[in-house]
Amino acid sequence: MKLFSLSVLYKGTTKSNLLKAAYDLSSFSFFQKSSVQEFMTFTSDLIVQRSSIGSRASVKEQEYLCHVYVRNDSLGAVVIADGEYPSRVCFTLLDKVLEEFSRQVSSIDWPSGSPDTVHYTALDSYLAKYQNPREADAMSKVQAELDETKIILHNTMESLLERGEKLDDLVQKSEHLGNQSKAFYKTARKQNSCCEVM
Amino acid sequence: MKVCTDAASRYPSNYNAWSHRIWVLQNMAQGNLKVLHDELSSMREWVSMHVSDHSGFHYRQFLLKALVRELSQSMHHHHAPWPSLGSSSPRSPSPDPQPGHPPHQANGEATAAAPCPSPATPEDQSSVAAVPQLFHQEMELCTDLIQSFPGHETLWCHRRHIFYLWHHWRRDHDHHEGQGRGSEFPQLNHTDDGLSRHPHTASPRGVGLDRVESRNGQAQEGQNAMEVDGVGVPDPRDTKRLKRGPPDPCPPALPSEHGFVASVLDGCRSPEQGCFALAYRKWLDSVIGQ
Repeated sequence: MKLFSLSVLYKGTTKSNLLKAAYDLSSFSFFQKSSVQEFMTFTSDLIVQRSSIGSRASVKEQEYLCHVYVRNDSLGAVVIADGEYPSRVCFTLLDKVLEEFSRQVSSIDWPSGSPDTVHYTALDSYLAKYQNPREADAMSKVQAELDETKIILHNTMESLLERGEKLDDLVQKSEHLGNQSKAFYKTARKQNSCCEVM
Repeated sequence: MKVCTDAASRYPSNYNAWSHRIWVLQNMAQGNLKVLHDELSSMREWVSMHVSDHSGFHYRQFLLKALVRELSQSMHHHHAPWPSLGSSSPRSPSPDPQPGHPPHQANGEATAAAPCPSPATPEDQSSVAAVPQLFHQEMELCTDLIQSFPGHETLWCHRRHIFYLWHHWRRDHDHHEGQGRGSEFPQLNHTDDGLSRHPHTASPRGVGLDRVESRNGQAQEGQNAMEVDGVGVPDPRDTKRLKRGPPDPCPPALPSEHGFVASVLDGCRSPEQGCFALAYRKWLDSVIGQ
């Protein structure tokens, strides 16, 4: 079971803003790494944009599960995990990270911040620590606060989109993806083969 | 072995990597108890982090089968001190001068040709104790993982395999040891070598006794040929040997398995977990319950 990325974003009115991110790309081959990272950023951004304020959701895309929590103050976090990693622990992690982040980084900086300007360094260590869910979290079976029935489940990324919207278009327009990644995405889609990353 | 681990980590449910690992063990460490034990313990961590990797668990099933076979062989050898036997190859069922399987002739011919099995040797005792202990530990691991990571079918499949193996071993074992029972088991508790590491291991009440389930109100109060201290419930004074940690220290048994399913269904929030639990119960009733 694995965690691949952990990001904190701000959900603005028209778009979301990446504030900080950490990645564990050790399971990807050298040539894939940069594309994988870009797609994970793209995905996290899109998910936060399409999630309502004050909601939690899990989005399944191939063998990945993206868990998101957008707080009432529009601060959100996304963790991308594999299918084995227990989602309950993911949501605990998201809560924790957002709480700490909001204490350390003033909310004034959220709408305009970027990974370079934001001072928050704990994401990498959280990502590393939580690779082993049982060590990181007592995994208490009774979680009174978190009502799991309220977590929205999306079976594909597509279900996040508006009617008529195409993922291909969003990929094309995205600032997070470099040209190589976009080209790779296009080829993979054309060949109808599972784009390993998206 | 490192190559196998590496490959297994890169590609989920990697049948090839694991069958190669099995091949390596069979061809380079045949019958080596220490290797089998080491593998079992070193793979514990791995399977805990790859809970839907069926091949990893299948490997544990293989290890258990191999261990049980080795331990059962050594057990039955001590009961049949034929000079000609030597140490039979663990893998050859056929080239055996004795009629039938070595284990089967243990009781019958041993009593005829050799002096009655007197106080069993220490190796014999620890072999006897080791098998239920192995199953108990494996079931515990399975329980732990099922509870920590709800909704993984692999874990339930693994549970079926282990319980099935245990069920059949116990049936076969009880069948063979019919004669020597009284003398053999009470001495189980005196072997602290194998058991000292595990404070709450196989019940001192003997092997797989379904009836000693105090939860069902059937606690054996009086003397029982299998019990050393003659009590049906743990004596609070005897804390050292009978130190109980988590609730159920008994080797796996049908009632306790039903209890487990009930507890899972009780606290369960994942629909898949509920389905798997019910399917397991159905399996218990239809396959084991016969």
